[in-house]
Amino acid sequence: MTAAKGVLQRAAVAASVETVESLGAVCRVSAADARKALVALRDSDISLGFLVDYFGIDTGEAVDIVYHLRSFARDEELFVKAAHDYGSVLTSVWDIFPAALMPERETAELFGLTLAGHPNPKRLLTTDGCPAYLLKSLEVRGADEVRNRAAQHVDPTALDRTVSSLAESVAQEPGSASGKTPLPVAEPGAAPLGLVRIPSGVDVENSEHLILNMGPQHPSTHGVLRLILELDGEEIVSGEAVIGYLHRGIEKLAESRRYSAVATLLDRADYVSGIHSELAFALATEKIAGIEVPRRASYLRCLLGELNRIASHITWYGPMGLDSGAMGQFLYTFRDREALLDILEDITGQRMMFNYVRPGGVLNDITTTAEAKIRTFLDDFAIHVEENAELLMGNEIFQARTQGVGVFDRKQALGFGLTGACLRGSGVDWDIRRDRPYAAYSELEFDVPVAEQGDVYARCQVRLEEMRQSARMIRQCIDGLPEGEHTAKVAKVLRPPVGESYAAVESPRGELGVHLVADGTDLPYRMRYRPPALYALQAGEALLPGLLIADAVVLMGSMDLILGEVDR
Amino acid sequence: MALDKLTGEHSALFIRSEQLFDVARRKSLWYMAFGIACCAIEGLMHASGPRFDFDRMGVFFRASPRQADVMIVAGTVNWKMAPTVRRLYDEMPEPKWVVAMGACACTGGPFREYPNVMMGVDKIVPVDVYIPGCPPRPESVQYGFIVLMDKIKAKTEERLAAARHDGR
Repeated sequence: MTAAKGVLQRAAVAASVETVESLGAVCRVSAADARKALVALRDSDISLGFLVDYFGIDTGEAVDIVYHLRSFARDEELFVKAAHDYGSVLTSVWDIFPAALMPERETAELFGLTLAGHPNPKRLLTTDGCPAYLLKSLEVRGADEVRNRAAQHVDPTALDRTVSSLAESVAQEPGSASGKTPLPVAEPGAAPLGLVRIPSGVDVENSEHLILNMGPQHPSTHGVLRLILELDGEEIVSGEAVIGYLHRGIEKLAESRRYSAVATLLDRADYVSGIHSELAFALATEKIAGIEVPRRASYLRCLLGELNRIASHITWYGPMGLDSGAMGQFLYTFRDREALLDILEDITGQRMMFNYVRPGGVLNDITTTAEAKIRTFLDDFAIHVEENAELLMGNEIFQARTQGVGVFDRKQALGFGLTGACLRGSGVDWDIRRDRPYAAYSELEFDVPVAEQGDVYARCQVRLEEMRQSARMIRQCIDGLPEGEHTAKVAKVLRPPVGESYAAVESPRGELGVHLVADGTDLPYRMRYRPPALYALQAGEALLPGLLIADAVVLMGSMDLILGEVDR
Repeated sequence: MALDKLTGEHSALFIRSEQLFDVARRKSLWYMAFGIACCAIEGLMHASGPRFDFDRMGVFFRASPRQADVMIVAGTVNWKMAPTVRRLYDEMPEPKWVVAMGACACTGGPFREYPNVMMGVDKIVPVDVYIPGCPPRPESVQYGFIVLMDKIKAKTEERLAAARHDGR
């Protein structure tokens, strides 16, 4: 903390650094100095070079833009806050941290700020008819009026217009502030962490490029992702990911739900691994409210979390086979997923939307039938996972399609804010379960798989090994489940004191964080959900130029995107 | 008696073309692989997976709207998505049916307070079957399809009855 202060003083930035209880070091700078401060913090010896998250908090007088920085080398975190007035200009920091590309657009849109210096300052989540500043007001005021306005603006030809306007802007000269310029990665040397475009060998002079629209309805985009690709033959010249087709205001609606009910929404954000989002929120709440969680509850959280992790990885592994042309893999993996969902339903009462992890503990204790089911599953899964590994990963065609495709080196992976299996696939040994243990992970034994190659195949290897490790942890949880209560005594209507906290869990997609601001009432003041899949998506988007269409499908598949989480 | 069975109105020999098509439609409801949100996992992936096995009912997914009979709207539709949903519906050949799966597609579900979310997909496409639940179990989806099959059959019988009434 003092180191950060010294760095900022040397850089001649007026800043106040303080320690906020249950959050950590918070550094406050003026909006004009934010860029200077970030450069100084990144390049100094404390090397806060990883942008964990970028978002805004509406304080009533201004919008606090929060830059959440982390240093892997020193294991330190710093929250840099810069207050921006309503309607003011938000200066982009994408050239300092490429990870800010999409979160910046989202923040500017939802708080009604103007984005300057961004290569693609278009709206990210909503259409032109929908009002901006959706996150600004503290209540969902005049929802009907806004809805009617949005309805009037929906136009069936909107899709055509977007594509044609893109075609126009592609033709525009790069560098103009209004039009879309090529993504930063397309210009070698422009971004310090940018990727270098592979030179095209098939380009004929004056040949016309084709704009291909993939999605939102496309079987290989896993949901409602839309990719607009500019093609030269079969090679992608530039690509843009369009999201927001599932934007349903989970962050906003959380401000009108009681603490015990927010998990209902979070289940539906990352709908394949609900336990993890619930857990992140519960941990953040417990940090502010100072709730002690019983040991048995922590174990149950780990147990359910790992069961859910396998279920989530399976949902990725099967469709990954579908993407690369292996239909059978899907059927084999879903056999295991059915068994898993049976167990989860037995314990929590629902197949997908569990609402099981509550602030203070878990909803109910493990059932007697579930334990036997879990043991049977583990015995079966040990065989099935090897079968699956042979069937898909051992397949020569699959290997040929994935090895050496979509390579992130260490620097790029960190620059784009990748976390989880994508980061570990690029050789960065970082797992929140081991490095910042939560729940009962400090008492469990497991290995963190890391692969060096950084390609699609490496990410597959990491996730496959994670499944084996999860099975190992489940067995430990079942064998060593301590006696005791499954939940602490918590008030029915929880009113945490005024405060701010950040809690992160290792979800199947990476670091899933919840940044919570409490104002002493029974409703959260602001709930920020750090979506690991959004950061993965923008990294994947940056890698598109130079790939073939078929490779783009495999690349996007390997990022394990859940669009509910990307759009929220 | 036996002759009646052979030559009666509903016999195999004198089956009307509408009835024949109706049987064909009922037994091969191909749906469009168009998952929007959470419901897609249950309604499209699990229902066609090894346990629930949608195929045995003749229900199978097609990737293109041009080859699909049924659109399962599986998830929250917001105003950005709405033009696409409508367009996909328009691209499907007649006859076509729409199944609104889950609370979001029926009414907006847990997200209906948010201005960007549409309160039910029936604002933009005509819905034949509503399946409640958040998300509905794969069994519910299959029951929804059985209801849809009955509905198709009832519609054809209505048409036939009207034709008889006209004396044709």
